Amino acid sequence: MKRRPFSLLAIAIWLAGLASAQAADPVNVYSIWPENYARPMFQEFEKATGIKVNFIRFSSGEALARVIAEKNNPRIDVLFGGPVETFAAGIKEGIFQPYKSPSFDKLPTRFKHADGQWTAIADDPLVFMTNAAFLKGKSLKAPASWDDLLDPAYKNQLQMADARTSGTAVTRIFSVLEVNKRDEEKTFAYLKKLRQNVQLYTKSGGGGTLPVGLGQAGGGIFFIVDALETKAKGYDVVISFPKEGIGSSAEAIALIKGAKNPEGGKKLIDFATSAAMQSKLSEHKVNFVPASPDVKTDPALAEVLKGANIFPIDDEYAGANRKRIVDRWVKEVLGPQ
Amino acid sequence: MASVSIRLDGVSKRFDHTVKGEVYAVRQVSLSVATGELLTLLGPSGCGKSTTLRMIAGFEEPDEGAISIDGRDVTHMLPNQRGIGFVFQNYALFPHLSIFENVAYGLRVQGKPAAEIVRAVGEVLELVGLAKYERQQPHQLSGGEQQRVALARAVVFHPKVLLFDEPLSNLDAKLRVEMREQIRALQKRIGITTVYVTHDQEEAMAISDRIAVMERGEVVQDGTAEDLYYRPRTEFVARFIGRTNLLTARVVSAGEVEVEGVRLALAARKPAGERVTLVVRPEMIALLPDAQGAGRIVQRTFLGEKTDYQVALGGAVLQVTAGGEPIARLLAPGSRVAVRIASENVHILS
Amino acid sequence: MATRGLASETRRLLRDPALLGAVAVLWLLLAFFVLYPVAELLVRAFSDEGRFTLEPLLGSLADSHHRAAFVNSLILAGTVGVLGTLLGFLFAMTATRAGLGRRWLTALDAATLLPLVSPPFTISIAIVFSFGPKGFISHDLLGLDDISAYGFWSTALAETLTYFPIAYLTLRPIIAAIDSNLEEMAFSLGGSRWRIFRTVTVPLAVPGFANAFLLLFAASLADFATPLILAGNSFSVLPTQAYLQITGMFDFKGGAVLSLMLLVPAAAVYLLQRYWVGRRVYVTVTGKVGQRSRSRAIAPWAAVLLAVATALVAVAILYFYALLLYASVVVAFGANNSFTWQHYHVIFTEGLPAIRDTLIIALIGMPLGGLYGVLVGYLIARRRFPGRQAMEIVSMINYALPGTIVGIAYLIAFNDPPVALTGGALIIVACYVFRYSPTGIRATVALLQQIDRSLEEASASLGAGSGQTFRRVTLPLIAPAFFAGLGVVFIRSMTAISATIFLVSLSWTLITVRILENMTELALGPAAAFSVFVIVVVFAVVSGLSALLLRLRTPMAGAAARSLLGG
Repeated sequence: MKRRPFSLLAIAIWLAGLASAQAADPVNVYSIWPENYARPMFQEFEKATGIKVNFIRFSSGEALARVIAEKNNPRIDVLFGGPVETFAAGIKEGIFQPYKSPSFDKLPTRFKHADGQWTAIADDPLVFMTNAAFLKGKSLKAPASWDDLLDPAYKNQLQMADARTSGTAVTRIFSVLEVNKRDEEKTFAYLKKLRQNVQLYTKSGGGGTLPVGLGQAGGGIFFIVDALETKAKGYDVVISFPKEGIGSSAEAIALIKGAKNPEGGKKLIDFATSAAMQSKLSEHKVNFVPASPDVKTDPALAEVLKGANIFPIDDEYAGANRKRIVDRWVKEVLGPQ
Repeated sequence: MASVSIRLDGVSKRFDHTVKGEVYAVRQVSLSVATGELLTLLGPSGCGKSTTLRMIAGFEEPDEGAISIDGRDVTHMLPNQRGIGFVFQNYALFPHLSIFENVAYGLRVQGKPAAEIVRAVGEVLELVGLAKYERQQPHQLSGGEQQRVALARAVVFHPKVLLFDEPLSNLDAKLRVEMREQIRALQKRIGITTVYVTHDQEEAMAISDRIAVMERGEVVQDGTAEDLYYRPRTEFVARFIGRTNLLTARVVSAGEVEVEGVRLALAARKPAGERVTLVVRPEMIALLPDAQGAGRIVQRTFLGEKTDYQVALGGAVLQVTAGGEPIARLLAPGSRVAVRIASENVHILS
Repeated sequence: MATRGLASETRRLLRDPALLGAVAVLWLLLAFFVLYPVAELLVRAFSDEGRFTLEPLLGSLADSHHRAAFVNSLILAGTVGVLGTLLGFLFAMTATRAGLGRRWLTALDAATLLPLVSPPFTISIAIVFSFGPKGFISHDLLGLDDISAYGFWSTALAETLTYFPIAYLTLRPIIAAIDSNLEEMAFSLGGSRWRIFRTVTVPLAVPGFANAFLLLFAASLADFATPLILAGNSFSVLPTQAYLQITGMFDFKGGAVLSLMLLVPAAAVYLLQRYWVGRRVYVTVTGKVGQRSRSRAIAPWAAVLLAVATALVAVAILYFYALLLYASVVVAFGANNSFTWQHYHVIFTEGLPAIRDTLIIALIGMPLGGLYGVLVGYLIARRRFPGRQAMEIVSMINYALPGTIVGIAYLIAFNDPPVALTGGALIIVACYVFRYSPTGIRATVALLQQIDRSLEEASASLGAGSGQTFRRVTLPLIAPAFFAGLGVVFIRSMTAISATIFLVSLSWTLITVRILENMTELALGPAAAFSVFVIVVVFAVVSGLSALLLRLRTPMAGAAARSLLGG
């Protein structure tokens, strides 16, 4: 009776040791990209360098919260994927280690942080995605304006992400801000009206794509990767763009301050920002727009994007105002009916 | 002279009672048991006899006083260090172990070699007549057999003292008599100091060298069965041991008392006019058919070898037992009788 | 009647090295894994740069959104408590009164076992697919459009179906124990059946009702996964709110404060259950259930009605799980319904680490939890030592607290050196052991109350120290409780998410977290396949344990086998 609790403790200590010993050689990563996008990239990286990537997928809000929580004792080396404004919020918390990869200089300004706190690996525009059968049933055309989504025909039919957990949602809100020339009153007036038609705010950015695909919801606002993935899965959905324009968010990567394996992390960043990896995107049917000017966009993707009015989100403005805007969204849009 | 094996010195145990507050389960009990002696603690339920036994075993700790076994103070010693064998009312056989393993338990705990265990267990099971039962499980045995296993388990490792807590109360009457004889025989054979707890006075008298009668946590009298029967010190003892008539008598003179109009020659050692209580056992009273007699038969219970009568005498009703009389001598209810009590058969309570 | 004297207890403890060692080690573990994290949480919530402040709490209370979430949580928990208790009562009446054959009873038990051993979202998802817009039932069958599957009622329905088996398991033995004597006697006295039901059966079952209600109330209060999927926009509840506050907004303080608001009703329920209901159960549970023939105290038509109503609910449950099974073997549920093993291939390749980690953690946690449960149960039921009652209460804290709080407290307490356990398996194992062993503790205490103390005294009189007595006598006898406790820890390790979602890491992830992730992405197929896998594994392990228990042949083993899932 006396000995057993001690051996329990021994197992405990052994387990703790086991966990920390594993973190030696491979690169540890929180991926904001869904696994089916991230995994092929990491496999390519391993093939190229022989370095293994341990990763776990979180939505951007969760990932950021964890990295901040672990600040004193970081558990990862690299934060991978996810909209730039998530990274902008991270800079304020001092969680990144500036690093400029060899591809850094070639990138346009909007695809990199001036000090190298983060570097973009891809661009990801938002789109409207609607269920084809739903449109037909209601005799609607695919929405071509932000105001089309306010049509009572969409009442209780839209699904889109919750700004508390999803970068997709934050990009969406900032898109509306840009469309309204950053007039917050007008923006929130629109968002409140839009809420009348929203059936559900989902926890992750792509959470609504399946319901839209299945017809459980009529439509929503998603990143193009998720929309095209839904289409690729065989669901009959329509992708459209608002004529006022819609935001695009660069997908970034960053080195974590205090990383246990900074060299491995840097190698991963070098690889992810290079043409080598980004030319593999189309091969693995990951429908991001490559950030590197040396890589050509996949022809099918380029076809979808033709004629669309897409503007970048100003990451400095977004980073500076994110928390305030999200708080206001929770209070004024999400909270009350 | 036999040496003292167990000694209790002013031992008390208190409990918190939700209604009565602090109550004494055992109060100032002092006792000693000689080596090889069998002492019985006798009393009604709740008198503190089991608590006293459990304190000797170490299951309870006294609040006051000291207990020693073979001259060693064990008052605050854990039960497993005292070298006692304990036989429980419910046998307390380990249900998950075979009979063999139950008996072997104490030896295994001591780390005895296997061969010795086999030999010792075999011997002791032989002793209690259960040699063939080694492989059985406890629930396959009858109550009497289980109790014998419990006994074997308690003696196999040669404890210094053996303690019994109402060991026979779950058995039927016939088996009880059989078992108590076995226990007594075994105890004498191995000569082990024993304390035995029971509420059954007949059992106590049959088995004991000495009996301590307890009432409300205190030992009220301690002596041989004969002492207790013929010379009870208190009304309680008189009533508890055997059947008895307690009669209130008036002292008439230095050598004479009067009970319900019957005069007896007795030295009461009290001044005339005082009242005393007499103890008269039912079998000590003689009844003679007498139409003018002071007594009247109220009820007769024929039991074969003896006959019990209830006899009205003045304001009292006497219990009288008459033994082995021919049918013609049986007295009919309602008939009048003369009541005769020999002075030497009367005990005066002080 | 308690013995007096702390001094004497302390003296005894100091003379008994095995007892002293066990008590000391347990207090150390409890301090480290229960008291310390809760203290950290309190400090986090009520301090601001080293000063004590009530401001975050007052701020939270002033926030109408949070207040609404608090009220919503209570309304939801109350509704689930009432509905679940009624449903549990219906099932219990059917099982004990309708005179069903053994085979039907087994089927009934299996149907009620399903929600207990499932990952938490299964029913939620099935509801979305059945009752949502374009749902199988709402649209395809009933032709309803524009219906919303999100909100209060669907959340309440999902939680009721998920948790009512707890009420069933609580009420069934109580009702089974009532009938033979009292009802039949009342019947023989000429009471009408309905009158007997009203005046005898129901009043006798009242403590059972109260107990079932409180258990369901607590379960609903702590549930964060169901509202996450089903509550929608307008019906927010505290556990989900606390989760989003922390993971989404990185507001630890806000999350901690919200959790503490949750603590108030949780503690109230726990205390009510322990000190009020716990002492009012009139009927002792004997475990002799199911062999009884049809009771005369129920009219034949009522028996049929009961059986039919129960069968309907059971069929509904089975339907939800059939849907799950179906979703796991079609390419894209709802769009491409051709058969495929693809999703199982995915979970056994890409999902293999999660399966491996979950099984490792469950298998390590299982014996530790079982042992911890019997050890604590034994000490508090059998031994006298100073602080015994305090140990009992402390050992229940993590069980009584909603999982969200425990998870957050662990995350806060164990992230930084020198106690940096986050990222390891230990923290997840510890979370499960200290959160789910109280079932084992209670089973042990209940079992020990039926095992006469004289067995241990006999062992002591035969020279065995307290350690030897525990090992040689007590432990074999409370083996049923050990296995029950271990079974519960295993089931929860396979299915729980509320606390551990905060504790998964790069090296150690869990199936349930993967399911949640799969479902928030597009991957419904793998989510369903994972769920089916979990259910199959848990069913197999539970059946194995039950068979083992029955083979132990200890008198109490049967009851313990049935109580395996009771807490």
